[in-house]
Amino acid sequence: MRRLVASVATFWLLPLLALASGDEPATALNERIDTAHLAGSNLQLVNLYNDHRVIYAAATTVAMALFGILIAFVVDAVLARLGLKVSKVEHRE
Amino acid sequence: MDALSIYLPIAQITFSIPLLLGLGFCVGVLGGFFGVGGAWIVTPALNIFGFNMSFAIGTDLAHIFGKSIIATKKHSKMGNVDFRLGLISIIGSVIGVEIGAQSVMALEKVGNVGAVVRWVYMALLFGLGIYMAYDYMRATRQQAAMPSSKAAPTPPKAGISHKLHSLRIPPMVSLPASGIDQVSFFVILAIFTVTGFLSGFMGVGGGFILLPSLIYLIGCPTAVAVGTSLLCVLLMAAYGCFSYSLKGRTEIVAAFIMLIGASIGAQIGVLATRYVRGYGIRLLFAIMIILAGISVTLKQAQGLLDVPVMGALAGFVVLAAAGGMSLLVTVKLIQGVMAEKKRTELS
Repeated sequence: MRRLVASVATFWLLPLLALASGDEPATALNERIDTAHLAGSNLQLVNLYNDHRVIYAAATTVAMALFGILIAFVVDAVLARLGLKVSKVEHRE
Repeated sequence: MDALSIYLPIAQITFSIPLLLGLGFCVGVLGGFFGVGGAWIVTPALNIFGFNMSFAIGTDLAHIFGKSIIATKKHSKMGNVDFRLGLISIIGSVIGVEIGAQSVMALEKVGNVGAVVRWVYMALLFGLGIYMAYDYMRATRQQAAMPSSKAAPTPPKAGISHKLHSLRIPPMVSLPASGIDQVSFFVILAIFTVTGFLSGFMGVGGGFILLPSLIYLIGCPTAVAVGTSLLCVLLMAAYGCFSYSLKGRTEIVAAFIMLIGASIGAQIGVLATRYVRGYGIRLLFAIMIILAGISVTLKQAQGLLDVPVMGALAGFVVLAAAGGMSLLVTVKLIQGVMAEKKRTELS
């Protein structure tokens, strides 16, 4: 798992370099969603999307990673209880 | 809006929850089993069911990122991920993708870039699919000719990967996880640059190119190729997720729901690789990409012949192929688990 995290972290240098290069942002950055009919968590999410796009992008990516890691651990535990323990396997062609 | 639908505030559409879960599940199974992202299934599917194309791509990449973490972690536990190879792939892929994208820009000036890309895409899908099916048949014949028919077939010793391994261009690297003693760093870099070029040129994630490249050009065992391909897909999807989110083209709610389905599917797909031999995975992958090729051909024919029904048929073929293949992989897993239990009981 540590190697996986290190791989992802290394790869994150690339978008950071792209951001630092000062490229023109995409045209969609100026798009805003009308919040008049929204409430609760949807409103908060759209506000984040409208006003803090970089935070929205970072939050989406981090949330996906965290959710993925969380599910991986939970399902591993469930499968282990069901007797489906995963260990190193011999590669058969 | 019924109980099984949800309003997606960023994409500003109402969408069916079971459909998102189902799509996530299918692509999760295929991703875990074949080591692909599955964008060629989810993106057109989301588009057909009402997502704007750029939202479909961004949302798909976000869920692929989460799903690939789950599947890569599991493959890593099974010893199926070559981290060193995966990291080298990043360098080659980034260079290749950029060259591919620049080639598309150059072709755009000449005109008709779309048709060229689709023809290359079709040639690659059919070419790889037919070659892998042929390779499976060759291996099956070889196995049948062996005195003990239960012995596993072996890859040809004079294969392309063996020739590439014999190129002694320093620095040489060792890839113990893939069972490769020594191979030139520049040979690997060149291979990933070519696969990256094809990904960039066709605008696809590249899992379906990476898997056969890792098997036939680098010489990885099939299961390691699946796991390592997933690591590459994970890294690409991480960047894609951030980039598309920054452009405002990721529907996070939809991506989360798809990820729930994909997380279950990915577990099934990864576990199934324990019970299906490498050549079996190759054959199923060959069938899958030939069906994808048929779908792209129908889409191309729709443009050429101006028959709208062909576009719908193209979507149906890719969805039916994904659903059918997910079901088959799930059945293979159940059969494998039952056979293993029987063996344990007998012993």
